[in-house]
Amino acid sequence: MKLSRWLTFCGLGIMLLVAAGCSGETSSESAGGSNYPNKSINLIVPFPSGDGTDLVSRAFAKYAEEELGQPVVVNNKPGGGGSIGHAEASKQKADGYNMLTGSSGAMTIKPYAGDVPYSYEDFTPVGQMVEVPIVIAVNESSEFESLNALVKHAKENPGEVTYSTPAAGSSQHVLMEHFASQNDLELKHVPGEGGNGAVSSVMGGHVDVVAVGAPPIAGKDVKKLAVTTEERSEFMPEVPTFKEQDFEIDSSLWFGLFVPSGTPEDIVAQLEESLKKASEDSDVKEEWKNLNLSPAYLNSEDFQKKIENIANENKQIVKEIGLTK
Amino acid sequence: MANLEQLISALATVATPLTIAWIFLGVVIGILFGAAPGLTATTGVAIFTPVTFYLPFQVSMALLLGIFAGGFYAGSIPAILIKTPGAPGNAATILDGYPMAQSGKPGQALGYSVIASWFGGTLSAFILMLLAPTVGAFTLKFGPPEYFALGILGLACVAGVSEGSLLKGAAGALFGMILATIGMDPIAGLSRFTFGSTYLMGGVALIPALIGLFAVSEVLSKTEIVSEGFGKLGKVKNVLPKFKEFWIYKWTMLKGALMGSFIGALPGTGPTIASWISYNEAKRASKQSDKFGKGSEEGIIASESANNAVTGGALLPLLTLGIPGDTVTAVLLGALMIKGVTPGPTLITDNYSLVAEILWILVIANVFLLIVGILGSKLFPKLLKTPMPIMLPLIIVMCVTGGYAVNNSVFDVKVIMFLGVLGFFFMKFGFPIPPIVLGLVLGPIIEKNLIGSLVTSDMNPLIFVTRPISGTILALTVLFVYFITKQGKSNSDAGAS
Repeated sequence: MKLSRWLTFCGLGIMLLVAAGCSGETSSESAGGSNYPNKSINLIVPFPSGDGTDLVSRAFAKYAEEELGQPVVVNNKPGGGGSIGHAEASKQKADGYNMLTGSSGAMTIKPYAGDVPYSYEDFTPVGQMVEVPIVIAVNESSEFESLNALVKHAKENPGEVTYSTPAAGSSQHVLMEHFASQNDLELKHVPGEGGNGAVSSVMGGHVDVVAVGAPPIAGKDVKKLAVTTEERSEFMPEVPTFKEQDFEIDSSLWFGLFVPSGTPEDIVAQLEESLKKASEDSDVKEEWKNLNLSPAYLNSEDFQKKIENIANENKQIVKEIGLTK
Repeated sequence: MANLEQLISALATVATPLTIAWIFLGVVIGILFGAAPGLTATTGVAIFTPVTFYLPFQVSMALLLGIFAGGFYAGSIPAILIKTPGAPGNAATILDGYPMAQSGKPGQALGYSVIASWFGGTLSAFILMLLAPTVGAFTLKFGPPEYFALGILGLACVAGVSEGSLLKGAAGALFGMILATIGMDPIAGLSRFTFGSTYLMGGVALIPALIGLFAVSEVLSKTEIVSEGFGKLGKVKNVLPKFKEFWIYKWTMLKGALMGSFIGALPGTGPTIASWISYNEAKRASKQSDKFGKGSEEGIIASESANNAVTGGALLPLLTLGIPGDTVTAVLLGALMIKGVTPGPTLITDNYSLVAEILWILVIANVFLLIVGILGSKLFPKLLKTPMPIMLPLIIVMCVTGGYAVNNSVFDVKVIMFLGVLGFFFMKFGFPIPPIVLGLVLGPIIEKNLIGSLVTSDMNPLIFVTRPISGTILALTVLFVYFITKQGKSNSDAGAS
């Protein structure tokens, strides 16, 4: 009895010391006047743990933790192509203690193509983290040597060409339908089982074409015909862009950091600063690159403009290709 | 092809005290994750992947593959003891493991499970070592029609696991498939039966559904007889079956391990389908098929050997093609890439030693699994001595926390409770639970690949029989159903006379 009481006392003492130590650290951090952050920060990742988005976020969280002096807790809320996590994040308090790793598809397509209770306007972008092109590829033994040859064949044989993407309603799916309608093609969609599944179905010859982001296809035995970004990708510099081949496509997949709109401006600025530093940090950069994702920091303002443009464009495209809700 | 010299030098690289210690740690963590309902090997590997950022290659693979192997096995522990599968892949183990434990032999049930798991895991590692390039290329031949056929073969298992009434079993399977239609449809990505709820857009998550249907419903029905008080378990003895007793089941175990390795190698399938198909085949082939579902050793062995053989199988397309065979290997892909290793066709030719190291780690992990599992088999059943009035609420607490942990979602907890109550009434009215689960697992695979196949064939359904692989699988399915129903008839005739 006596011993246990003594132990309790010691335990309490240690906890008090730890608490004092922690608060001491924070107060020294908040020399700027505001005392943000003074508790742990929640980062919602709308994809499962171990996913590319998740690993990108965790690498950032690790860096931000040191930078901000408070734990950044990654909270995976997967499902619905990212929309469940985005919906959840849009409902959080705008106090700077709730962040989201937002993705291009869930942010700028789902609000127009699905039944989701949020739009990009419910968030304030902190900054863009990484960006990669969507890659169009065919089987290694395919007769098509260029995008033009493929388009020519598809035009002559409407309804013959099949393509795979990670999922129905994904950015990749929307891109291909948009490309088809731009060029008067009739392509058939066979949704794959995620990016890897889509790549394996073109490798096995079950579909003619695949459209996926760079990570699952870099280094695979397929013939890559084009990348959707304006510049070539660092992971496959030999692959030409759509524009180089005279097609009006300029799009990408990206992840960025967001907070619910209404978050105080000085806090957004502080987070923006840590994201900027993180994206310049060589360790973080290397981890992102190892995942075949190109670090592509954009500040809050530029990122906001980019999202507005893309969202308006996608709204039109989704209507045009008949994917509206 | 595998080079003996490289294999031996890889073993030497791996067999350092440090690496072995990390494998052991991984197995123990994996067993903890696997045994906790709701936490799976996938979660374990995902959580520990960031830890490996700082570790050298062998050590990080040791930890993660240890978790992989341990997690796949340990899901059978709660399946046998409290009728809750630790992971979806262990659901088939419930069918015989739980009745066997209830009849006073929990130690033996766990013993059979751990030996079958060890055998399946080890054999699949060696298959991977020898056949990686060949089988890797073969799995690519599986397109939408083949996956559709495989889904139908899985669905044929309904015939094998519907105790009592095939009609009720089929109704259950249909109910499961209808549940699986909730969410975004696989063709256009539009919301279906979500009633405006964002949470339903992700569909009914499998693990919470399993926990609700199996565990919560069981707890509810146990509360009816709770006055019995203490569990009636005696001492746990004879965990290790005599070699002779075990040797009878060698073919069941070998078949299970081969099926698990192969089905595991097919992207998008995984342990759940492997264990059900293996269970069904074991029942078909068994001379004592009437014992299945009532505590048959063969049932446990078939399910667990296939379940654990998925580990080596799933690594196969990952290492040869860069395409993960299941959810855990999808996470492993990220972990490898962070280390600067990009799995793909060139990995085996350029860097065979890395592949060989991975294989040895898997083999060593399975040895630890056997040791820890056998020691544990003496300990774990003590759990069942807990008085029911304490045990039942505890199980509910575990169900809720586990179900929440899968997606950090309170909505999933509601799914557990809803399906738990529903499952209770299903049990009351004699509808078997396993067909519902099969419907839920296979529904999406069948739907997506049915439409995917028809899109590629211009809506011509002959594509399913004219392609050799899918045609063969469908023919097997017909044979399966024929034998199982015939067997069921002769069993019930024998029972009647």
